[in-house]
Amino acid sequence: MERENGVGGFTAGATGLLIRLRWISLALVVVITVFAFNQLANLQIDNSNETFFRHGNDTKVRLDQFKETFGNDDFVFVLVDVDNTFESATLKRLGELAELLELETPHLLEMTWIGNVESIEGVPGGIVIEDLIPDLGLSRSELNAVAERATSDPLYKDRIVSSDKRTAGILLEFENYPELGIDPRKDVPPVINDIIADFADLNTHVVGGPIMDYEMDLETAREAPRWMSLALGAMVLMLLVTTRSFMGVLVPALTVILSVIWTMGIVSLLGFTLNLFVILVPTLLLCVGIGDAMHVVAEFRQGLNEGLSRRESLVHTLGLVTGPILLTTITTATGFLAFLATDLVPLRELGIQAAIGVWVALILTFLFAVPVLSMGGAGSGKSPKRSGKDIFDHFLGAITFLTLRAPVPIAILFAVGTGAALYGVSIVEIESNTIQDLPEDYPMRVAFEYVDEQMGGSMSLELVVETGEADGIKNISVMRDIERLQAYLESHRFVTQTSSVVDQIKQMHRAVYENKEDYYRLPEKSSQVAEYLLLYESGGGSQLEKYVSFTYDAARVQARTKSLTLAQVQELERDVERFVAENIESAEVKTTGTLSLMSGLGDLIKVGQGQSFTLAFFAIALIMVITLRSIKLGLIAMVPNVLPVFFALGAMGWLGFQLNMIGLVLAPMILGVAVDDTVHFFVRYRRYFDQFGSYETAYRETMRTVGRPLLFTTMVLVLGFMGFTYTVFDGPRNFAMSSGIAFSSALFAEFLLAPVLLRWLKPLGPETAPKEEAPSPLVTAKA
Amino acid sequence: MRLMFTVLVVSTAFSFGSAYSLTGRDIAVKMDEVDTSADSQRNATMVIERAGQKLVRKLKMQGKKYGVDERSLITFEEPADVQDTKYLSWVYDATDQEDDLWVYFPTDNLVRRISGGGKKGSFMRSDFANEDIEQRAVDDDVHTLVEETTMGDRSVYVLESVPIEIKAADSNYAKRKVWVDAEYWLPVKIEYYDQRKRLLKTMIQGDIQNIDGIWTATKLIMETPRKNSKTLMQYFDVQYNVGLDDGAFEQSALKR
Repeated sequence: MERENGVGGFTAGATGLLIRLRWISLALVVVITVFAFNQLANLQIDNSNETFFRHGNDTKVRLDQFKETFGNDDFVFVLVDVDNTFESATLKRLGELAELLELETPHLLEMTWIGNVESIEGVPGGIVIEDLIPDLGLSRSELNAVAERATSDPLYKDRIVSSDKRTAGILLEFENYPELGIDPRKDVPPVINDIIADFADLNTHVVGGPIMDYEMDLETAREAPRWMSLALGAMVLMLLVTTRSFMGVLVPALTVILSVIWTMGIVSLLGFTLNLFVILVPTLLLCVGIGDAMHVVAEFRQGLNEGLSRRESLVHTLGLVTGPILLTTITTATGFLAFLATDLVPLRELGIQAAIGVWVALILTFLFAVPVLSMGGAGSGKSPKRSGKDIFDHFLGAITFLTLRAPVPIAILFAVGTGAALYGVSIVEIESNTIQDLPEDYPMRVAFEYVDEQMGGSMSLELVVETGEADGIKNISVMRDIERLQAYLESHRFVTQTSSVVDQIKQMHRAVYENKEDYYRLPEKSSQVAEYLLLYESGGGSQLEKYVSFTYDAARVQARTKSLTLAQVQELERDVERFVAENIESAEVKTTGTLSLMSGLGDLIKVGQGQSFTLAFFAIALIMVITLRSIKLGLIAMVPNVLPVFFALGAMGWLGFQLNMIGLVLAPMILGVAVDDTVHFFVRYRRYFDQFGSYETAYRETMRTVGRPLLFTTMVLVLGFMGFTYTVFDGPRNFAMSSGIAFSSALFAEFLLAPVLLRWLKPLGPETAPKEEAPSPLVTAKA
Repeated sequence: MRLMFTVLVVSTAFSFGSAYSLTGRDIAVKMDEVDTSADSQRNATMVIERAGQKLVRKLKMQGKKYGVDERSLITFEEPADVQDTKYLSWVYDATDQEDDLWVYFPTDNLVRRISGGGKKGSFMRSDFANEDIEQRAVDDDVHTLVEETTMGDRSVYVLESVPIEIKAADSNYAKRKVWVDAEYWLPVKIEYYDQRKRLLKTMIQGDIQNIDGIWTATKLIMETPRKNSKTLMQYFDVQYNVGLDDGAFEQSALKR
């Protein structure tokens, strides 16, 4: 008890000081809030997948090398739905659109459409290199001939015109973006959208990386304020229902709003960008940060109810809750900081920002909530005494009764539940394809599916064939290996079409031999390859640099696919790796590109979830053991923290929710947040056991005093997280539902399972006193 | 009022017309007339540097004039895998006549006439396009003299050359800005602007030597900043009026 007296003496002094300096404290809060608010305008949103990887990550390094060798792989594909591409009037209109896109799209390297593609054709004694459609005024029969060729030649078919001629594509490819502070690829979509808006007579669909990221940014910016407002609304409602007091609503709500403003101000000052992860931070903070103020207000009101003055009640409150809320801040921040164990940049940022946020919430509880609570005349802030028991008391009473009377069924129930949850965890699917995260009628998903349907696929796996020596790919054996690899890819069920330099060599070979189809194959000698490449590169050869490296030491093979799930991408990668290991000897083959990026993200999600959960678990367990001064008690305390993680992930498995990037936040966050309940529960439990020497009395007293605040904070948390369900993305919705399950099950584990375990395992030693009716905790606190 | 307007227009026209003693076309003609030889031959080495990597190309270039028209033969020497590949071109001065080009593939031992485009293509993956290497007919472009100035201690004329309409489709460039040495009548710097009027690349010509009485730039550096790429073209063993045989410029002579 000596420690508590020391703490009590210190907090009494500190509380007195806070009350004396309350006006200065509030003025400070106002000044900092104004400053932080002004920083918010500088926040930028960035959702591009590449920014998710840390510098030096293998996937990222491979992609960067790929871009350096073959140029920027970013593209925008504008597809136009027409009756027949090869009608003069249609071509003319498409030409107008293509020309405008070429002229005005920023950072454009090349625009390709059926009206400007090159054609290399053999004729008797010669080779004709010209545009496939030399001019747009061709006769009907000439257009028919062009259409016949375009829809049968793999160079054009389903690349820039669909086989049924009803879809024409305009491909926009980009130079390596200038390295400026703001993401230059964001300049692209608004310009394209504006141009397309002027062509309202054309039915267009637009896909591509820059478009997807831009749309996601817009959607995120639209949704984040809704999440915030819904979470806040739900909280205010819950606070009103649970406290039925103006002070009980206003103080916690304002404290947490200020915390969000301060934190986002700091986030802006530190130069972080917002993404789909970080955009969770304000709402997350609203929910997580409110606990401190709620515990303070609850305890303060109880003091007033017991007849204490405002000052006395504050001294009493802070003496009782300062330790626990400091501890919950440490544990919650630790849970978030566990994200530093992952390689995902935005998740690391979220970890840092949320950790800052929970500390800010604690600081504001003292600098704002306490001064505000201290105001008002003596006794004027006295809450009306609750007459009789309300529904919450009855609920808590029933829980207490149940726990004391039916420990065995409770233990069995949790054991069965845990078993079911573990099975659920084993069947959770990981998904990193953002398109799969959108509803089926969402315009962007519709556009991607249109491309899948009409043009043979919206995604691509890039393979880089590396020979390790200059001019290596001109070697005919390497060419044959590339041809074999391409043939294998084309036979794969996920691949719709492939392309490589081999296509160009075959085309040149055929052209040199007067367009005889027999010659659409690789030549026999390496020197033929070199000579054809020389003519190809000098005769226009715009495709060459996309498929071979500058020194001809490496070649690129592109395998286009429809929009694949992560599991399918990883299956394709595994199949390719197996084929390469068994069949390709002349060169090394590496995978990269958007699909590989997605696969890499999937791995990071899987590994990151495990690593961050493990780190959070050990760090929090250590803190609990130290705080509760008992290894056994500390480990028992971890049970109601860990089980909710299994319950939440297990529920995802059972409900068929996919674990995507946002889901990665779940496990460590649950651990970090659920531990708040544990800290309040176990610290109080230990105190009452020390006092009464009885496990049962300690439990009854704990439920009587912190039962209500714990129930209320959980209700606020669950309802606040429901704000995330108002979204077009599956991710945040699943996140909200799983979190709800986690926080509710954490509370039930705390109220039901923990006391059973405590009574059975007796971590605090044998009971020292017979059961007794405990006096009011205030009396003991004052004693 | 009308009189005043007329005086203004006439005096403006007069002042513009008399700003320089030479017109843009005059300068282009003078540039075209620098090489007074009947024929020439030279060896060239190209070093192409891109993002820290390097390609070396070696070739032999021969040319002969046929009145206002020209024929040229390029024989590739390095890299070894394209050795003896030859490009023969007949370039016509008449703007409405398309040039002829034949390619000899030594491994297949075949000659093929190449028609259509290709001028815009890159020359052996260098920063030079095929159209930069070829002699350009004076009236393929409209030349405007925009400035008389100095570069270093040399007087230069600055021309803007814009392709005439029927040649525009064959060119990568919307315009070229050319700095012409006022003594040698050779371009010392050329800026190439793409169809969006953005600066695409810049060439610097230097190491100007008087060879057999003809001023000749023997070192050309073309730089494309957007691609982080640079090409050095160096001419060796330049000879004029060597008496090259007409037969060497016939397609029948391409085969071994």
